[in-house]
Amino acid sequence: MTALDLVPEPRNVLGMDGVEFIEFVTGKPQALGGVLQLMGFAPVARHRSREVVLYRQGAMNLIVNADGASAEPGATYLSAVAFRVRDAAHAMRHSLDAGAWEIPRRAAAMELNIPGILGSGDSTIYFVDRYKDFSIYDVDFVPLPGMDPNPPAIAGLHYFGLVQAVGAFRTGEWVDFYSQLLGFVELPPGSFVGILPKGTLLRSPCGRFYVQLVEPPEGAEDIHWDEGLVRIGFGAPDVPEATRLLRERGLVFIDEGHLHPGERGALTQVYLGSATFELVASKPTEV
Amino acid sequence: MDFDSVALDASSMAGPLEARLHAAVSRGFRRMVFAASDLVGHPQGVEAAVALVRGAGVRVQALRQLSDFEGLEGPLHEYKVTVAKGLLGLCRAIGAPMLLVSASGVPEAAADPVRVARDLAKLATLAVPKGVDIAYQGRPGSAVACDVVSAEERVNAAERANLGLAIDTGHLFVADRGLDALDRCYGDRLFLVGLSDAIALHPQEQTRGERDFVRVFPGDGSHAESLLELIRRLRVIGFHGGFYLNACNDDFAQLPPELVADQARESLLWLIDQLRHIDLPRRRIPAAVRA
Repeated sequence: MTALDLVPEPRNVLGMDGVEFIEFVTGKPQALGGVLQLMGFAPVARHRSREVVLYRQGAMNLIVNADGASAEPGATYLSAVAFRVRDAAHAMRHSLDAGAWEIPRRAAAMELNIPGILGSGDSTIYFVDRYKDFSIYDVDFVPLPGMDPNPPAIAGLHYFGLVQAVGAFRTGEWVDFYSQLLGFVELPPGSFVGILPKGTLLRSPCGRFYVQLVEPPEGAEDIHWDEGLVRIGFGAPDVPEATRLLRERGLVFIDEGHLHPGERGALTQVYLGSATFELVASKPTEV
Repeated sequence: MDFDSVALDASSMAGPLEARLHAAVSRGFRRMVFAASDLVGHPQGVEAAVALVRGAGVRVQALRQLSDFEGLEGPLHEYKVTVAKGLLGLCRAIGAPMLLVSASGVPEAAADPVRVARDLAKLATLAVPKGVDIAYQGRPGSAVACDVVSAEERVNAAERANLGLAIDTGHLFVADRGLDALDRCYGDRLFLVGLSDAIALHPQEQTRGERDFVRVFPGDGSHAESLLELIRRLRVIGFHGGFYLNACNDDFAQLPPELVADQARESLLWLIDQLRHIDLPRRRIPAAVRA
């Protein structure tokens, strides 16, 4: 029996079913788009009225939002994650009853008419229930001509999780937040994968997505440490092979100190001052 | 215990915010507790008040206070959620890592433990994205939590990492169980201790509330020894929360803030001297609340 066997089966009260999209807000959409294309994403659609582009590879949707009203000048940051749920309205009611802050839909970054709640560092957690027969992109987005709408994933890449910075001594609060609102379960120490086994790992009730909470390191009380989403983790069945293919495309991985790309994972350099990506050894879960 | 770790409650002083801030800072205080009304009552508005506090180099220990939140139903509950959100927004604006919450005292607040626990858990969840801890304090006469023991029971039932207990030593010695109330407390659930001594107006009887005693700074009242013993016991039970000095009374309300700040300084120096051999744990470092 492993420590993981002792983790209780999560109650999936929202009917969570993975991630529909992750969103960046940026003042440099072209530059970020270039980095994403190195990662294997391709632009497939553009918002009808706003400076928002949908990138895709495999089953992963990624929104690049450069709308002037929402982007800080020059900044690039992770601004939202959208979870697929059985009933978005039910998910909202459940969350609001439990103490979530509703994000006003008209003021939401993408202006998609989808419900969302306040997450870490002013990010948004959306609930999406149109992802099978219809998609949220059908109405608001126009396909980009000549682009394959369903580009394949490189080396089986898939969304694995998000890394979230939390304040000192505030891991417990965020464990409560994710478990009470969304049904995530805290995994025991030693459950980590990847090459940055810090903090606390939470698993979504659908088992397809993870949130890693990381507090500032000890002895670093004076460093600036904002709470917020800091990094996307991509799962790869064969990390060395994924690393090789992405390097061929021009992506640069950190290879110094204790950070070496290997079978467990790999970490890219920082792009645009704040964007990094992590590869984690993981097989995609069948839908 | 020193001037960097013990806050002064701005409510102890009279006068405009500028004068109270200056009085406190010039006497060495680096942390303060504010009432939300201190901010919204500023003639130039909340933003000016926030800029004033930040400009003075003061760290905010806590914002007071949310009252009558838990145990209400329907529109009353929704109304209080709106109030709570407003206060949490103020916490964020001023960089307060903690919101002081006083137990519900309205008649409609049914003493339904399940409902109360659910409401307190909801409040704690609301506070998470704002980087705020909730310090819950019993209130004499409250049907929900009238003393330290019942307040802690409510906190434990809600089971949230950012929800803890606040103790007001003024109430503790005059209207509560005194030091015995601490015996059932868990140190890590105790977030905030308001240090004040008290002069009971009816010392032969257990009093019922704020109006029955005069709140003074530690060392100036009838319970100096008990107060020192309380701090020693806090150390034993593993308390790592924050302290603040509070002496809101009618006398100080008609005195210049400089004089009251002098008195607060003398009080803290007395505490430091009396407790110089006590090694209090490093206080919990709250999340850095963004400007």
